[in-house]
Amino acid sequence: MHSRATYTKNNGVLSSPADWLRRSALAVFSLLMFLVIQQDVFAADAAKGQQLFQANCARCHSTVLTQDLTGPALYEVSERVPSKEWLYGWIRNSAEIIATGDEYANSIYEEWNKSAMSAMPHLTNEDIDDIVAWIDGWAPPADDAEGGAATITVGDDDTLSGLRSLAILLGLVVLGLLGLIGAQVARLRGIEFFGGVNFDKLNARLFLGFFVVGMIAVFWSTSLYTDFFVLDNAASAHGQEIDQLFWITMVVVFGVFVLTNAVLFFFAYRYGKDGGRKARYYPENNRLEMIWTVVPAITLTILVIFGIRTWNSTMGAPDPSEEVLLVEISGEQWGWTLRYPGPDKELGDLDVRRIAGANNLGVNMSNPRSHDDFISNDLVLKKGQRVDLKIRSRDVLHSVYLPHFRVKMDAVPGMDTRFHFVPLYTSSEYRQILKEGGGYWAELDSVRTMEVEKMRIENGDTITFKETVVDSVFHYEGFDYELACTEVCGRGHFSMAKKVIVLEPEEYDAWFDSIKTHSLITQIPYEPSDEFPQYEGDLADEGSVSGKTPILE
Amino acid sequence: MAEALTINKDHAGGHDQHDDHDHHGGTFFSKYVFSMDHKVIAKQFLFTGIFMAMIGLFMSLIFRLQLAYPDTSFPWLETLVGKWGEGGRLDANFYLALVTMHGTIMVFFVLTAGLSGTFSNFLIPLQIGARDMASGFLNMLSYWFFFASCTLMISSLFVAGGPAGGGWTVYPPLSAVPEANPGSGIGMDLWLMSMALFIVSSLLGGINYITTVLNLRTKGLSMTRLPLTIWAFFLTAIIGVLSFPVLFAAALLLLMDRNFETSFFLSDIYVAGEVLDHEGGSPILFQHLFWFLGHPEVYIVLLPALGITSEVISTMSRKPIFGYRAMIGSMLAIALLSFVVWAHHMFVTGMNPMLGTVFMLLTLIIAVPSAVKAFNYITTLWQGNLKFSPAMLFSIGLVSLFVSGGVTGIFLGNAAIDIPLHDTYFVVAHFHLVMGSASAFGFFAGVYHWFPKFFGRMMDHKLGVAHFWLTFASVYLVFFPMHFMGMGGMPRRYYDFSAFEFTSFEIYTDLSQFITIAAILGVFGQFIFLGNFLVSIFRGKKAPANPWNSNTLEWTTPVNPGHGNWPGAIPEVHRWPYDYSMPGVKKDYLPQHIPDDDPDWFIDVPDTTPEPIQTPTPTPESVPSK
Repeated sequence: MHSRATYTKNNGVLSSPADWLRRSALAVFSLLMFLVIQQDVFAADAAKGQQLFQANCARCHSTVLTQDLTGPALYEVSERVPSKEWLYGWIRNSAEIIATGDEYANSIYEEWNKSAMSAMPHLTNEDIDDIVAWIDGWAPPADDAEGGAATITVGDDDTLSGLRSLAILLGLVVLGLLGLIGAQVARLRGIEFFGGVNFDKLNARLFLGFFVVGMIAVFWSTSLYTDFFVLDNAASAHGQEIDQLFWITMVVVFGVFVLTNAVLFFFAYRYGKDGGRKARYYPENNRLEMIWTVVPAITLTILVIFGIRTWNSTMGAPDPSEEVLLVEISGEQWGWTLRYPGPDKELGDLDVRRIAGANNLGVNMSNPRSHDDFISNDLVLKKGQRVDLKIRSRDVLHSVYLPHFRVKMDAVPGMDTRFHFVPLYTSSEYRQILKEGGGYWAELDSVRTMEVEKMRIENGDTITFKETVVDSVFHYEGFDYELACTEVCGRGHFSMAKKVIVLEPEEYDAWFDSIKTHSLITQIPYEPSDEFPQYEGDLADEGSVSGKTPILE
Repeated sequence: MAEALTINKDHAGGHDQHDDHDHHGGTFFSKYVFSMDHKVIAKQFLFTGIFMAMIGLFMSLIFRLQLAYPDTSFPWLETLVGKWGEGGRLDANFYLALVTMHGTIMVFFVLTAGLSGTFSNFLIPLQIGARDMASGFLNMLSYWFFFASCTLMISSLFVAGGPAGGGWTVYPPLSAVPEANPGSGIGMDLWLMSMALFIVSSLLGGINYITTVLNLRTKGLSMTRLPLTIWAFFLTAIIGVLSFPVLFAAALLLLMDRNFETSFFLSDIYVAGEVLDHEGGSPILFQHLFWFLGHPEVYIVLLPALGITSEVISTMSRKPIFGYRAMIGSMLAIALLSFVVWAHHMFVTGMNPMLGTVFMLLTLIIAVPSAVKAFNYITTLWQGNLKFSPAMLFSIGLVSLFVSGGVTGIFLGNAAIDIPLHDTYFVVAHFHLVMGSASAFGFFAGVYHWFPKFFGRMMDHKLGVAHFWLTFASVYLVFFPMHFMGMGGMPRRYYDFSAFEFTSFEIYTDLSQFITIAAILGVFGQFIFLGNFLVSIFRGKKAPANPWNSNTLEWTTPVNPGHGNWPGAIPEVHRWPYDYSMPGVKKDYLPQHIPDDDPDWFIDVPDTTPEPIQTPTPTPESVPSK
């Protein structure tokens, strides 16, 4: 910019060879600048790469790039792999490369116990370049070089705490053994421990004490965790019914729990504390039996009636006239793929036999309905609109779990399952709800201090200075709806995370318009093959999976 | 039935020829290893069960360490488990394998075989007045099939790929496809074969128990005079015989899917870069088959414990069990209902929601007989003369755990509430309290109560008390807070909770550590038991013939009953087993075999003067044999 201003200023004064020289130099300089800028524009963007990494890779690869997680540490990955093209292929579908017999690919596959990396067909070459740029630019924590010692100290700390647990355990065992030996010796010498203690009285008092202390502990600990109960304030319509039913049941159950235990422990205390009394011969009482058969039966009947009502309204088919938002979620080891129908509001069919290359779902690309489908990184939903979640799996059982929406449904290979629900609050509305709920969520999470460069004009001069800005972050601000897996599916079961975002209708439409250009057909070219005939079905009936009604204009 | 009731004592058993020379003859092998004596077989089940329980407990400690300290390195772990603990960090696959093996071992090998195998074998002939099981040979086979099954299961720890790692429910396709999970290789085949042997063992045992109870009861012992222990073992055996074959079928089909390219449970699977040839199967089918056993299994585990508790609570309260007939009725109801509730494990598998409605209804009905049992136990304590033997402590503890763990079933049995709670720590808390811990308490109660009959010696009372309080406290400390985790939505079988915000709150991380420390304490408590148990076998105080002043027939045998149980004739039974503190009787108990006109027991005119006689009630341990 600066150079260009200079050039303009000197424009028109073109007389001397010196001027000519200067102009030529500037031109070259400008050209270089241009190239540099070009480089910046077109070269990989590490910042974007970091975001992509977080969204796509972090569930298996540690963000501390020198550490292994579910997947290998990626530090200096670009120096290890055979080529950039290899990396593109590997990330989009590693299985394919392994199948070609590629040596490096197979060595990794073997090293990681034959579990393939999740395919990421939606990542473009540019995306991957961005991610690699971030990885290349990443350096191990600064004090690492000089402070191998420091790292080791940390490791030592961890080790110590591990050893401490072991030591406690061993100590307890040794103590126990010593106690046993001591008891034996004492017995042989005729000494009796606790000889004067009346054990019946002691046990009786312990029962009473156990109950009192236990109840205090129950109430106290419950108060600690209330802020974190997911089962409070559901973000979906059916979820609120479930919550209501949960807390109604809680009243009944908690009452029974406290009363029954109270009577049990009290009797243990009352009739255990003085031995030698004559017990009452009381073999039966049919009226009592009747009471505690009928009362639980009635209580449970009421709960069952509520339960059936809530269950039916949750699982029942939605009103066919209602607009639904169809989203397909596919589970695989270990991740989810979210497929949205494009403007045609219909999803193309798929088949695991078609999985190849970038087509990691096996979408039938000869079906025109597939063409405008698109893959989204996050589960984006529209506030107030019923979601028709079509759930499937391509390998083993998974289970889609959206804790805040009270949604859970298994993903079963070979069988589609469905879950319908209506999100009630956008992500930001829910944050406000949490904030108003107070407690943990309204507390300060962290205070960030940033140095911001500012400018002010003083006496005609521009002065730049640095100012420290304090930014307070509260817990509720970091909240996001989440999606997890709840059916054990192997090593990476614990890491199948997806972000769920609920938007206002207009925000959703804008998002939809922005993403629909990334339609599947732009990512997965259709290649006719002998194995699968060209799609010839009648578009009106077969070969598509869709919601009952169109969902978007 | 009539024939069974009038069966002559001389025909009962079939081992009469041994009566007079019970400890003679036979080699070491035929006496202690391949023995057909039900008492020896019971001890074999007991020792094997305790051994397996220690393994199961240690496994739980290792994965509890991972849950509490996910970022900590334990170098000894590498020494212990080799490549599964490289760098002192538990491998995620091995974590799942540990969880799977812990569940399998505890449910089947400890709480089914260790509990039911031990006490059914030991108590059925002794309490019904039989010289042995109907078939001593089948009984011996039952143990050795179990032993082979244990051996296979343990050996699966040492094969390539490790033991099965798909959860104790071994849902396919994860358990069927070796490429999907290293534990689904040889380890899984061994798991299935081990389970097949286990089921054979269980069926051999079950058929024997049923036959013995029906046919070999001594004279006068009608079904309505049976101790509740026998009722519990009897119904348990019936449930087992009817439901285990279904799991056998499931295991067989899964073996075929794994090894012979069949497609019972598999369809449309793409794994490790390849589409599998399997087509048309359904993973849901396996779940139906599995839970058709799996849910009755809960009652197979629980009923014997409840039976033992009935016996112990009544004896140690010096009171008749309250509502004997209601207790039998509720057990029958539980046994019946246990067959029609299995799909409550499958509310969110995608099965027809209509089924959800039906199974919710049936599931919540089962809470009624359970409630009856709990209230009857409590009423038995009322105005009793409680003797806190360790067995009694564990029985009272069992009732508390049964209530606390049982009530949360009302949430989980409700299909709608199950949606958010399914497969979270809420479920873990629920079944560990009501099924795991309650049954383990029944096991302990049984061991403490019948130890004198097992080994002719007493266990140390004080160590028993210490064991109980440590165990009771740690069970509540470990499992009660897991409800909070469940209500926070934390899924089970997670290796690490850092991938999600809703699972990684600091307060839950702290809680995980708290639970682990409580678990370590609890395991320490079991060493007290183990020490007490082993030392008492050899060094315990010599037991009197009837240390708890109990009414049932096993205490009429010699302190160390030989082969054939009674040296002379088998006693006849004249009443039900719960006449404790009965008016008109000189003592606070009245054994089943005492005839109604025995002047040593009855006050002169038995039927007209219900005036209570104050007899000094001796403490359990100091009672001389009668």
